[in-house]
Amino acid sequence: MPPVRATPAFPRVFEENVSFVWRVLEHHGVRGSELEDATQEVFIVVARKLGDLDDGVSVRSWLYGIARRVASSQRRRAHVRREQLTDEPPASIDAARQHDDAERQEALRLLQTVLEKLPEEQRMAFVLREVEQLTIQEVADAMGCPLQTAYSRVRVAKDHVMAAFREPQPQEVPHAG
Amino acid sequence: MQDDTHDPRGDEAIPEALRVAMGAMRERAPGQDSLARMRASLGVPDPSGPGAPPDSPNGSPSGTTTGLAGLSAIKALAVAGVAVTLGGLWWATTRDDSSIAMSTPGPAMSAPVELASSFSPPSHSAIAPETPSPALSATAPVKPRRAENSASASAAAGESEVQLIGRAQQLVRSQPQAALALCREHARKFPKGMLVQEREVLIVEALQRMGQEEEARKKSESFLKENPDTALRNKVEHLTADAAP
Repeated sequence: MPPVRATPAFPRVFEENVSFVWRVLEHHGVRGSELEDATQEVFIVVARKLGDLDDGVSVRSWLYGIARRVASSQRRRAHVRREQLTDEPPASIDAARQHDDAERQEALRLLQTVLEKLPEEQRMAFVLREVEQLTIQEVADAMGCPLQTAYSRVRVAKDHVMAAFREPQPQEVPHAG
Repeated sequence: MQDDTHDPRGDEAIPEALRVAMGAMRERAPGQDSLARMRASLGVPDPSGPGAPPDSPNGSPSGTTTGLAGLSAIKALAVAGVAVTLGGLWWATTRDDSSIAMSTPGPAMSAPVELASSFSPPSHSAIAPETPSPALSATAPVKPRRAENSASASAAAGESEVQLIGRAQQLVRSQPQAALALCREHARKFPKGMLVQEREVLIVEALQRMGQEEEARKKSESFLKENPDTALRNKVEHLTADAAP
């Protein structure tokens, strides 16, 4: 008897990955009200293509490819600006989960700043591996590059990020008097 | 062979601030309102139950569009179409997926509605990895095509770890014992390397192929317990499911 094809059901794929897709879109510069539309657009594609997903392909790698393309076309349509450091925390952060911790926000801002300076390939490799915790193989699959290249990209990006976080950060000058 | 090439940065402690920042970045997610709208539009049942309202059903839209009204006409058509298509898809797939509790009956099976033709999603083949096989062997004894930067030491150390796991990947089907030995070597050299998860999955596979199914099952259970969100979950479950009676 042939093995049952373990295609994950669409609701499951949605629930398990909607936040991941949301963040990937954000990292590709989709912002504000466009995010929800873009996320839905990704899952519309997913619904159409899920049955074709090969057994050996990681769902998240696959989703990344779809999200990247949707983000790209979204940017072309809406002229959404590239990811920029903002003073305000992103509106997408669930208010209930958002920590009003200045230190935390500061750390996040620093990470965003450092990542912003990296080439997109390195930035996304780092995000997928270190933030989203994909395996290196998945990063390679998602980015359509050899595993060795994915590994190098993560390494280089990680070196930059670690170095930035080790440097003493400029402190706010306390008010004199 | 770079026997003694241990990449110490694999064990390098991540600064606390970076850990915090990555955690904060990881927590970004759509709000409950957004989620509810997307579920409604895509025909995804609320996992908290059919009667359970979202946290704030009429909460502030916080700048987002409100459901289908905010979508373009094309997307609205597409969403309407996909809701019907999803019915069939969901119905077909959930029959084999008991892990998802669905409290609402599947929509009637109808012919899939073609989505708006102007909506042209990327083809699966375009998204699929360039390398047809997911095996690590694709990267085996390859020279880096070009240096990503001047950090050649990094690349050298990387090759060592990648090549080790790559060789194990190549051998796991024909010589699982040799693959297992390579995995152990990797564990010794790179206890916190980047390919730890790949290594653990290879160990499961090697044990499985050596007939040590109980050992493989235990290994896979501990792996999934330690890595509940691993992207390799499906693969591990598939490996051990193959051995199940």
